[in-house]
Amino acid sequence: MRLDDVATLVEADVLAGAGRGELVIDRAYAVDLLSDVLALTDERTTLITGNVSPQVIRVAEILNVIAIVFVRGKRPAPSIAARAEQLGIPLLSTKKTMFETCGLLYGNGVRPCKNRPVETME
Amino acid sequence: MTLQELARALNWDIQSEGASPEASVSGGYCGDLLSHVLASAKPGEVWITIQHHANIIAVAQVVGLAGIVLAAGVRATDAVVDRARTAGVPVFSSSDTAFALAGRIERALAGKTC
Amino acid sequence: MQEPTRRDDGVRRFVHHIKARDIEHGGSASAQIKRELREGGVSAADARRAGIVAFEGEMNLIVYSDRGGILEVDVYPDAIEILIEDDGPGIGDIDLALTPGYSTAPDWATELGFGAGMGLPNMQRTSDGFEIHSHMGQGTRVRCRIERSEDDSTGIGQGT
Repeated sequence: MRLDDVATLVEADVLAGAGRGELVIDRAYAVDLLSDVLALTDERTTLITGNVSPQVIRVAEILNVIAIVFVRGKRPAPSIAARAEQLGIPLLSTKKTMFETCGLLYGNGVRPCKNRPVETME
Repeated sequence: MTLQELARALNWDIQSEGASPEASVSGGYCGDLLSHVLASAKPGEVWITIQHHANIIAVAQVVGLAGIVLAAGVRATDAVVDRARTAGVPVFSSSDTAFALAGRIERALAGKTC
Repeated sequence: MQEPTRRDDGVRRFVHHIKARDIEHGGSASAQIKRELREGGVSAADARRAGIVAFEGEMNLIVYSDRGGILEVDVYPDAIEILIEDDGPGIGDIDLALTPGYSTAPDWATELGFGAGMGLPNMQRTSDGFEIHSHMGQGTRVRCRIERSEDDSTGIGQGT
């Protein structure tokens, strides 16, 4: 899908990267915990998250995330939107829940991406 | 659709059966911050998360969630499985990421192939 | 923001002083390091790995150290060496600290989505060499080594 189509589909406001509507969004990852974001191995992924901490945009830069969709009506601080604009990373914000947002994107052909297998403490 | 049907359709690994496998699932909730789940998740929803220890069972009970499915190959710790069995809370594990789980559950509940 | 310096032997060094509990800036040093590595000719894959290791180290200093610490990166032709060091509180049981999922993060950190107990294991897994030294009451030192690859076409995308 194109970024513009994503924004329409999930009824999102565009907080940064308004000029990048043609950007192709084909892989996504839903995440809240920072450590989970760092487990991403696929590049050129779109993050779907409720985490608006300044860390999210910095990790997005380190990992080459191409766009971020904030859910549950969350909006990051203006300084984060400004940073995202500088980096060329579009930010969207939707009032929809993460579950609904993922469902809509998945139903429209956005595929899951890979992450590093998680080791858990048993 | 019941949780049991959903689990079978999506190939989830069962870690804890749960007290009422015939209960129907009203929707899904995706998220890992426990305080957010407590505030926003609704009774009857299946919770998609990678949180596999601490208080997930208590959270599921407090909210009245249908059950918990752990994403991306995460498995509940033994302590959590014990608590889940005692509390009658269903816990599953799936190799799908949270994004894929949300997508597939949503389609399954809407009656489409997943 | 720190300017990179050149050591006497010509090796480029980046030094950042990280303040304890400075969540607001957490990760900005690592993001800057990653950018500067790329600008200096480090491959995309190596800069990404260095960025991840630096990030985990930086967040550890912020969440766990008493008085902050230093994040130091040295760039050699064949490797990137990353040092993260503080002077307290130190880790009592290092094996436990290295166990994925084990965390001593305070509530203020976990409520923000940090402190899932993956930092040290992630650093270990992402780097090619990993050493940790720590004593309770003294401090902690972590060293990571990233072996550099010549080839920039890693097949995992065209990120910077």
